[in-house]
Amino acid sequence: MIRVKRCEIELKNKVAVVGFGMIKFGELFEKSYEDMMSEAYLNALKSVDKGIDQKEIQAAWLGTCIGSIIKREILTGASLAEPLSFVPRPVSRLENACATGSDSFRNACFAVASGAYDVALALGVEKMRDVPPIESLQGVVARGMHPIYARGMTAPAVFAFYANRHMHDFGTTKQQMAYVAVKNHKNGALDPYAHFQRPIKLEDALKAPMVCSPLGLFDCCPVTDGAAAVLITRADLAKKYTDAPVYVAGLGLATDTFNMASKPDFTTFYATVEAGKEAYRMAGIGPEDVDLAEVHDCFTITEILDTEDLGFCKKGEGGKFIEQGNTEIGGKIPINPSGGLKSKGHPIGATGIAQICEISWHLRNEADKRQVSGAEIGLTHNLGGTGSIAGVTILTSKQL
Amino acid sequence: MSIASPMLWREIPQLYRLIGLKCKKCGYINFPRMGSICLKCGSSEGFEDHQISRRGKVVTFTVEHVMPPGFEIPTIMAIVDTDDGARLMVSMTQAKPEEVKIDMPVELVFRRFGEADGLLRYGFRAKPIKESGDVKK
Repeated sequence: MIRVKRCEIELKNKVAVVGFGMIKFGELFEKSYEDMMSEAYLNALKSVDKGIDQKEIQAAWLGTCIGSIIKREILTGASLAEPLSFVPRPVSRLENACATGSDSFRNACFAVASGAYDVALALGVEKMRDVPPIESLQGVVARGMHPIYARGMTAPAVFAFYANRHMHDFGTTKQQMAYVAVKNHKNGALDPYAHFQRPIKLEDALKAPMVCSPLGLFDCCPVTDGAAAVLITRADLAKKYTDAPVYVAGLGLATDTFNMASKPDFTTFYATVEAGKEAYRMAGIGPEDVDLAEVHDCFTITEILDTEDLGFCKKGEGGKFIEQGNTEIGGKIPINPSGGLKSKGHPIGATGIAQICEISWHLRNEADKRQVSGAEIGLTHNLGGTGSIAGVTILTSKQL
Repeated sequence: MSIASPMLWREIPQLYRLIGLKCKKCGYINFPRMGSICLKCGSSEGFEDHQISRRGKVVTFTVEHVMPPGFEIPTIMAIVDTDDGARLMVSMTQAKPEEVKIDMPVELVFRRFGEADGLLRYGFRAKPIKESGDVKK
């Protein structure tokens, strides 16, 4: 691939997050797209310690992905402007597969850093369960892509390709993948926003029905409705809203090919590696400086690859690293204290923003029972498509 | 999602004939075919049609047990590297799930996939090679 000069706008320390709003994720049959969106938005407004007037928010980025596929809601930024009474302010509607949320956040950060706006909203929302699960991502991918060459490729199949090859090359085991599910359910049981708030047993994960070999049911994240919102402002304005702003130290977004046939190998997500490098470079830190991370565990194998690709352990050792407890709350580098996609759920467009909320709560010492003690630097990682897009964000409790 | 006949017609070279685009500059076989810029080197000097070899081996695979209506259960999907250096994603045929392994030799065979949107669907699938010598070039 071609190497080009990377982002030269130094965002570090220029932007802060001052409001954080989520709703409890789940199968929210009683709530509409608009209900979820307004609840997350109002929670974000309420979370601003020193208060904020809605009219101070000058622009919004709406992260939503599946809506344009299942066609339940109005397209354009009006999807947000109408239910939130945001008219006529500008709303950009962004779709970037499962990395939609973090890319919406990224664009809002750049807009604020540029001086275009003092306060911006980044909101992610997805109504996944107005269609049966088989017609959501599973069916969309298998039927909606290329008529022959992507025919039959479901979302779990993409990651199962990686799982089989990683097991073949590095000896990663099904038990190590099950540990990811066990850990994330254990964390999710402590998270009031999680879809599944209960622990699971290793043996139950191992004997679950097979979905896409070697991935069983407990290796897969659920189909979940949800919304999350954050309020972003310039760092020099942040103290007007809160004494505990969360600063953006680094942002990275990178692509890889979508077609499985164009991938160089099946043991690394190169978009993750590149997005991580860019975020670390911007923040001036390395993986060893990170206190906790929320990573994209759409499938258990994905978390194993993420752990390697973000530099928390060596390539090939992710399974062992997790099995040894290094990524538990209290471990060397806690990963997915929220329960991750596996337990918290994965409402596509909301996931990246929810990760920002979770890391911010830890940095503000507000994560209650799942608090990672002394957390000052946190990372979010959001992966989309077939690993064809990845967003990495580095957040800090103090300006670096 | 429905597909109209122009798309299938446009894709005849790759769908029905297994013809990829070989970059005149770096020799990389672009498959699926996409526009006129080489994915590998970024050159737009041009491509020549390349008849992809029908013989290859499995790079990775999965056996899918949960599928939307209209698909075989299980469906076996594989990434195949052909002998001439192309890489494809295909479903497998005439294969037992428990027999499929990484590095297993396969042959690409033309098969009917059934009918959708009033159009017959055809394409290549990977079939395990049981014994050496039973493959046409």
